[in-house]
Amino acid sequence: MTSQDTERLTNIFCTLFNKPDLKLRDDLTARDIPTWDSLNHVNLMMYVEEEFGVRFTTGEVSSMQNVGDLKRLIDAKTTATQAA
Amino acid sequence: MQLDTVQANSHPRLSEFIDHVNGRPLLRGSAMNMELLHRKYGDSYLAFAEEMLTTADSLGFDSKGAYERYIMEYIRDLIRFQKNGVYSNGTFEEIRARIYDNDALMGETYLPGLLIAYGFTSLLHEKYKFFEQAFLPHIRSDMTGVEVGCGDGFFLWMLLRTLPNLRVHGIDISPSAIEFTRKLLTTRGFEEGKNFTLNLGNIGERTSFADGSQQWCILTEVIEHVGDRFFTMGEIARFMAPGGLLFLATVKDSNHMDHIWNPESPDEVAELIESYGFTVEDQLIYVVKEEFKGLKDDAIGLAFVARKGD
Repeated sequence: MTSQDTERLTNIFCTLFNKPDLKLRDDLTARDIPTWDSLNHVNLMMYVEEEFGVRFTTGEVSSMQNVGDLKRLIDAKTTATQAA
Repeated sequence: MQLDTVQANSHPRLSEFIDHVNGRPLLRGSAMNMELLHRKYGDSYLAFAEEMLTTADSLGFDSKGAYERYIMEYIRDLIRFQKNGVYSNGTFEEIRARIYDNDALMGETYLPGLLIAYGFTSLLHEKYKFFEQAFLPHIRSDMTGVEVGCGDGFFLWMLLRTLPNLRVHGIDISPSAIEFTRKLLTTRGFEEGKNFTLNLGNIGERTSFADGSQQWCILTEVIEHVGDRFFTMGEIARFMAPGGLLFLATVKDSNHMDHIWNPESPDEVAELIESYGFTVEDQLIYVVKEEFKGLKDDAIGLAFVARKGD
């Protein structure tokens, strides 16, 4: 993921979880952010879909466990979109 | 949620399900729900949850996948409701074509997801507990009754599980629901024709039940789905016997893909029931937020036990 994309993703996290100083580590999980609940997880995925112009399947939304998973997923989706 | 070693050994499917749920943000709410239900109901909850999962195995569906799809749909609908303040899922006929007549959606997500959700979401599980405590003890094996909109078949199963000599009847507008219920009850060892009968039926129209013929009726998660709730209640009042017992469950401020009516208050539902000649004898008003502090879900589960007057 480019540093620009990481910044875009960081902005989504900071806004959604109301944590302006959040540092986005790959091993960051929902356990580290109390407000990262089921509802906000779907909100997160919807914001990412809109920001990056991608679509996630239910399986992808469900299996995502940390920020590293999400970054890899975005990379795979955006690469596929560019290749098409 | 965690199980100790003894619990994990005696509940292998639940233990596996918990391993799956833990660590997944999408299912974080489910983990909280399971913890809460375990705290409230102890080992009997664990046994119930294990039975739900082994039943799903017997039915041949992937409980984890179906449940995830169901939860995903629920949360998407919840977000849409929070944004707009209304359900806006279309008319009854649009919903019927899009959902009830859609075998893939009903068979892969809606029905299996709803069945599993009775074990893992407190909003639905509490209605089942209320049914068990406030309705079931009044039903005798020689009574005639019907579940209208039997859906996944959960309540017919719970009736037969407690009263194996009872003969139950279920109707639903969806062919997929009839098939799913048939498979569930058969899988659990009940025989069609002997223990249960099922047929397609629309509670938005006059049914074939004779006046005053039914001594009990279950109407769960249906009244918020129908096009004309007044007609539906009138029809139920017509075919229920004097002194018959109605179990009606619904929800306030909880969107789902096929919800039409959002009651203003619990009282509005009670008044609807009583305006058709019933007396509400017991009720459940389950405010999800009171159990989970800080949760952004305004859903209120409602259930009523009401007796038909003479």
